[in-house]
Amino acid sequence: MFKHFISELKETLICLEAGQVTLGYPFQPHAPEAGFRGLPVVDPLLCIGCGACASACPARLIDMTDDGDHRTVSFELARCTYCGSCRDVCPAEAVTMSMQFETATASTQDLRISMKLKLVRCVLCGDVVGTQRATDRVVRDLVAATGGTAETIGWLDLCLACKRKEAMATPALAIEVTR
Amino acid sequence: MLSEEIGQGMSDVSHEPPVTGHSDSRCILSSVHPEDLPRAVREALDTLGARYIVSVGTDRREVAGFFEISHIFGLDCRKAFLVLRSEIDPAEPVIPSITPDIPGAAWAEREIRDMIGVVPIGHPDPRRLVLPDDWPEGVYPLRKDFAFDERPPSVPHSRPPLSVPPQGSSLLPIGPFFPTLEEPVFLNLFVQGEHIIGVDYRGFYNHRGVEKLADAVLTYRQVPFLAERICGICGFVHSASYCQAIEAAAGISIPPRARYLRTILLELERLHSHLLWIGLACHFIGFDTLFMQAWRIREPVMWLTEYLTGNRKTYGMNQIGGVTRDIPSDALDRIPPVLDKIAYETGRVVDAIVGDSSLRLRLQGTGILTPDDARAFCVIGPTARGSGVDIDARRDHPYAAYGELEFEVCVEDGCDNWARAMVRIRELPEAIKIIRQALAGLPDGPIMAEVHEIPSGRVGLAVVEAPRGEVVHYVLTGRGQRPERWRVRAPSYNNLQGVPAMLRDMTIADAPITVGSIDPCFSCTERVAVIDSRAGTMRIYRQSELRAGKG
Amino acid sequence: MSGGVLNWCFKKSIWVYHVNAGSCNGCDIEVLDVLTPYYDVERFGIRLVHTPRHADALLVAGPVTRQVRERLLRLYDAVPEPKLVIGVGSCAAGGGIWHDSYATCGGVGNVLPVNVYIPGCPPRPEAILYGVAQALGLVPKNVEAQEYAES
Repeated sequence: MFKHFISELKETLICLEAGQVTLGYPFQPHAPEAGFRGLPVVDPLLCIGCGACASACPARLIDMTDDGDHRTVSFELARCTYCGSCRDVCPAEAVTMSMQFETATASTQDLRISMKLKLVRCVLCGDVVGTQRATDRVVRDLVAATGGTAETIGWLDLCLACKRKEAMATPALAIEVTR
Repeated sequence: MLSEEIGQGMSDVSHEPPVTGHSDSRCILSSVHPEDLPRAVREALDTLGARYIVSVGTDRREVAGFFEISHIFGLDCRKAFLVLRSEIDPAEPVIPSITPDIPGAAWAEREIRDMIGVVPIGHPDPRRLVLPDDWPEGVYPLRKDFAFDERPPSVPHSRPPLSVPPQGSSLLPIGPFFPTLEEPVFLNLFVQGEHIIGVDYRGFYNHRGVEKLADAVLTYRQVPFLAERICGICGFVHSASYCQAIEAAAGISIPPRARYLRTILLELERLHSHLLWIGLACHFIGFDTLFMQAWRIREPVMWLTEYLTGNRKTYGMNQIGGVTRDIPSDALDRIPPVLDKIAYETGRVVDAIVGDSSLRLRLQGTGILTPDDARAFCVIGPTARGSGVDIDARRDHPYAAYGELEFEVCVEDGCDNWARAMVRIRELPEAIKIIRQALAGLPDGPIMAEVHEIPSGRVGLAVVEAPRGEVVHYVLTGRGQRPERWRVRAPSYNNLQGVPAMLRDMTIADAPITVGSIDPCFSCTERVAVIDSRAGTMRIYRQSELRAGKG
Repeated sequence: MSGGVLNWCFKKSIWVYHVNAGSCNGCDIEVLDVLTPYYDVERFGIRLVHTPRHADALLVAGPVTRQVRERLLRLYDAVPEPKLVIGVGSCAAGGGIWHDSYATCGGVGNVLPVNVYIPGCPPRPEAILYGVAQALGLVPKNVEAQEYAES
């Protein structure tokens, strides 16, 4: 009986010592620390429409659809798991995980991102080559790597299949293989 | 060599000498004809001292022309695993049941029947376990010809597969939504007055089709994020276990720093999980003061993991080959004060409750699980350690950095709810001890190994000691950069099968805390479908072979 | 029910019934966390109740598995009008990582009329507080659909 009373006293003391610990939120902000994986933010000016994020996303919420002259890249962030894979794989660093966590909404439409990017189609067969931005990036990287100029880089408007056919039909590109 | 030794022991029941897992010498694969299976199982239990873990069914018709059933055992004193594999002819998909010999195998065989369609002959309780009540018969989701997003129409007037209550008992249905149940689960208590004489259980309300997603639509590198969401409390355990299984299958050795980081996060997860349990257990018995205080003490761990990993839960750090992010540079300064505070506060709480007679009255002498029952139902984790069974995957099958760190495995002999509570309470300072050692010995260097293409057809087995017990992930690597089969066995899968024995002769008031004392995580258990038929298990328990000195 | 009447009904604090509709438990423990000392949602008069009959709002977590669907509908019917449904977490908002699995219904919105979604995996306790406050009309929405077309 006495032992029980002592234990209750100790339990009370624990509560009293802790005191009131309630955070000021929501009247004061309680921001997460750096590195927090909040709502993904996509910079539409940086995205090159390559689709790396679409392949990596475990919730498969990133869709790429080609139609006519445009590729639409869309994110259904309602089911985002905030894993950060899209940010990790993006070659253009277009995706950042923001600090935003106050994302409540009545409609999941508010959590959609949709970007329409210009497509380059093959001048020979009409198949999709990729986005204009992806082509621009290739040019930029090749120029930087070879020291050449944009004009010297050919076949940017051919799809892979047509590029192969062209290459096979160009004697100057032949490589002699001796055994 | 271990595999030769086992080969000799199994020679009259196995038609080929056993092989070791392609890249994993601790994993011994033995081929057994289905008709020899009961004898092989007896051989494994009696001669090799094996401990049953789980059974896996795989549809290998496309790749090899048969269904494959694997029964997985732990050879704890040899730090190894034994897998008995049988090939089943698709024209006659049946296999002798091993449940009469191993009561703890009851669920796994029912799950194989539900998901693959191989029927265990001689199973004492072959009811549906995992699939929803309105799921049509004859449609097996884990068969390769079933599309992961196919949704067959609902079967009208379907009823849950409940067993008939014993004569003279009243029914007390609990759930699926109930105040002390965090997850939907249906318990049909058979009572006489205040006393429980039996229980039927219909779970698997959390069946989400996790294993099918992994082998049908996700890739190897996406699965860790899926695994982490099997359970929101011990998610890191599941993602670590999956990565370890693939690493074992593919022969990938992860850098030392990654092993230590995994260890630190695993133990932080144990801290938050045990403190959460202490709070919830007190909440179940009406002691809300301690619920609030335990969660108050726990909160800094959540802030710490948000700072270390970017999120309070679902750390997103595990990937095949190591971890994806390093901890921040000032982590070594930020972590110790949090640990110090938790150690101090927990010490004070334990000191306070030890003399609390009303708490002891509720917890001592209730929910008794004898050591024999604990072994028969193959329970693990604090549930087993509270009944004197000394098993802990961190010591028995070391993984991550545990082989290099010193810690004590906490075992109690009380066999009751109080003993299981004390095991968890004692594990808190041990977890803190492990984290301190890991921080002190944290190696420099890379955090991710180079991972090349993962070859197909390899078996990988990994165990991780979750807060609730041993989690086992079995993987069979496949083509197309995804597993051919991934099987998750959560600790609650086994521990729940031991609950009927604990509830026998208890009063109704003791039921919630007794179920809660195993720290059930229905989400872990139910990643496929969880249905537990307690009455069925009780019938198995009464068979004389169970009483005749098992375990 | 008209917005004005709803606002009047919920002017005081609401009583919430928490439902796990197939959730992994991550959202559920964060919901419980808002009761605990650091967040203390009870200071706003918001409390968890143990029966839907006493509830003003359902706080639903999980993608709604096929097995739980019918029971969730019965639960919803048991809550007296006026009522709110708040979907907690990415599974509730959009079905999460298993939105297209054979075993789930793809999110609470496919089963019940939802008033507010609180995305997150799991959402922080602060995010849950924000979402409940938004359901009561106390705080504004911070997210909007983004559309961009390259010219």
